Amino acid sequence: MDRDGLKKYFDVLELEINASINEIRNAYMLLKEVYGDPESIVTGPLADEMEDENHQDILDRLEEAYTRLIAAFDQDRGEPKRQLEKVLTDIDTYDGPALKKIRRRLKVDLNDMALATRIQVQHLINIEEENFTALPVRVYTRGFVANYARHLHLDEERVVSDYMTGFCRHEKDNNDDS
Amino acid sequence: MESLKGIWAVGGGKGGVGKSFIVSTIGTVLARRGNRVLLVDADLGGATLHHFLGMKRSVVSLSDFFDRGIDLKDLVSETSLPGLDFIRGHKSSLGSENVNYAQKNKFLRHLKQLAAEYLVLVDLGAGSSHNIIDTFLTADLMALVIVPEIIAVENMYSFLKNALFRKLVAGLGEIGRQHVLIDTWKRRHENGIKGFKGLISRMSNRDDEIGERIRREIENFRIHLIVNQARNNQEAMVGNAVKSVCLKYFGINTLYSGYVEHDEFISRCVNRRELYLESYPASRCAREIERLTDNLLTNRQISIIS
Ligand SMILES: Nc1ncnc2c1ncn2[C@@H]1O[C@H](COP(=O)(O)OP(=O)(O)OP(=O)(O)O)[C@@H](O)[C@H]1O
Ligand SMILES: [Mg+2]
Repeated sequence: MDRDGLKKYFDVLELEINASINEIRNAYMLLKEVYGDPESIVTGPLADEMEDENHQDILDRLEEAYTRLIAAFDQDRGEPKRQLEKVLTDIDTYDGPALKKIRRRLKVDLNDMALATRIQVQHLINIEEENFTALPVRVYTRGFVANYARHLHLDEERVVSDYMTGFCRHEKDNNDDS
Repeated sequence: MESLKGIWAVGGGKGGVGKSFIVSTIGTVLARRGNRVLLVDADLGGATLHHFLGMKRSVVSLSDFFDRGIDLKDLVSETSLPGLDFIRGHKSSLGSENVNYAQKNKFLRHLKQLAAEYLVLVDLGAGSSHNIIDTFLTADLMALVIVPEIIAVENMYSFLKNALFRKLVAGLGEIGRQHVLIDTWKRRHENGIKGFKGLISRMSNRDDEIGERIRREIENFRIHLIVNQARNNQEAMVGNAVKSVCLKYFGINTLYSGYVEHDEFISRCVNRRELYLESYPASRCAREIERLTDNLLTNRQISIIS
C-alpha cells in the first residue's frame, strides 16, 4: 500500500502514516462522535469558532478518509489472493521445484523471505532444491515448510503434506540402504 | 541517574479540577525516583497545595516574597517526603491583584534560578490572568488539567488561546511587529476573520517575517493535556477529543499525556493530612499517576481506546 500517497487521509484522522487498521477505526469512530454529536461537551464551547457547514465539512472529510484508507487495506488483503490464483493454475503437487516456481512468479526474494520467516536462506534453498540430506530432522523441516507456505499465502496443510511425502520417502530410502 | 531540572507548570483555567492534587502527586512520584523536587504554590488567590502534602502551617510563604521582598530560595521548606521541598502560597487572597509587573518578573527570575537546582513544579491558580499565563509560558513543560465537564473544557480552550496569543505577542514583539497581531484581532469582524485559527492563518500569510515567527512560536507551544476525575473510558477519551479540537479549530498540536480517575479517597487523605500516594500506593489512581508522569517525561500519549 502506498502509505505516503495516502498521507492526507491519515492526516484527517490525525494519525501517523504507519497506523494500523484498528487505529484507523478507533480514530474514525471517536472523531465522528466528537464532530457529529451536537451535545458533545468538547465541541459545545466552540459555538463562536465555527459554522455549521464547517462541522459538516469535517464530517465529510472524515468519511472520505476512512473509506479510502479501508479500501486500501482491503485491496492489500485481496491482492496476494488474486495473484495466487493465476500462479497456481498448473501446480498439482507442492514439491521443491513447484515451490520455487511459485515463489519466483510472485517475485518474492529469498532474502526477504528469510528475514520475515527467520529461516536461514540456505535452508530455504535446500527446501526448493530438495537437498533432503542437508535439511534438519523431520519436525524442523516440517516447521520450515509450513512457514514457507504461510509466507506465500499458500494452503499450508496441503503444502506440508505434499512436501513431507517426498521428504519421508527419501528418509525411508536412506534407512533401507544402511 | 541524572536528576531532573527545569520548570513544569500545571494550569487549567477552571478552579477545582485537580491542579494541586496532580502537582502534589507528580511531585511525589518524581521525588521518590530520586529527583530533588520543589513544589511552588503559585495560586495567589487561594493557596491550597499544602493540604495535599499533609502540612499545617509553615512560618514562611510567598507573602514574604511579595510583601517583604525575601528571596524565593529562603522560603523553601521541607515536606515529610525526602527530596520533596515546598514553597507555600500567598496567605491572604487580598494580595493577588497587587502583584505588579516588576514583582512578577522577579518571581519568574527567582523560579528560573531555583530550576538550576531543582525540578520546580508550579501549581497555578484558576483563571487566565496575565500573571498566570506569563508564569505558565515561562515553564519548560506546560500542562493543562481538565475534568470531563463542559465548563472545564471551555475554560481550557480559553486559557489555551489566551496563552498562545500572549506568546505570539511576545514573539512578534521581539521583531517590533506585535501591533499587527493586536490590530488584526481587534478588527477581526471588519476583516472577516472567524475564530482563532482564522487569525493565525491570516497572520501566517501576512508577510515572510511574521509568518516565520508565528510558525516558530506555534511549534514551540507544546501543551500537555491531563484529564482528571474520569469515571470511565468514555470520560478518559475526552482527552483524545479535546486534542482533536485543539488541532482542527485552533491549529494547536497538543499531547494527551494521561488521565487520572475519580477516587473518593483523595479527599479523605486531605482531611487526614496524609499523602495520597503514601496511603494508597497500589490504587488505580496511583498507577495512572505513574503512567502520566512517565508520559510527561517522554512525550508519549494516550491512544484512542476502543
Ligand atoms: N481524581 C480525583 N478524584 C476525586 N477527587 C479529586 C480528584 N482530584 C482532585 N480531587 C478533589 O477535588 C478537589 C479540588 O482539587 P484541587 O484542589 O487539586 O483542584 P485545583 O484545580 O487545584 O483547584 P483550585 O483551582 O481551587 O486551586 C479537592 O477536594 C480534591 O480532593
Ligand atoms: Mg489548587
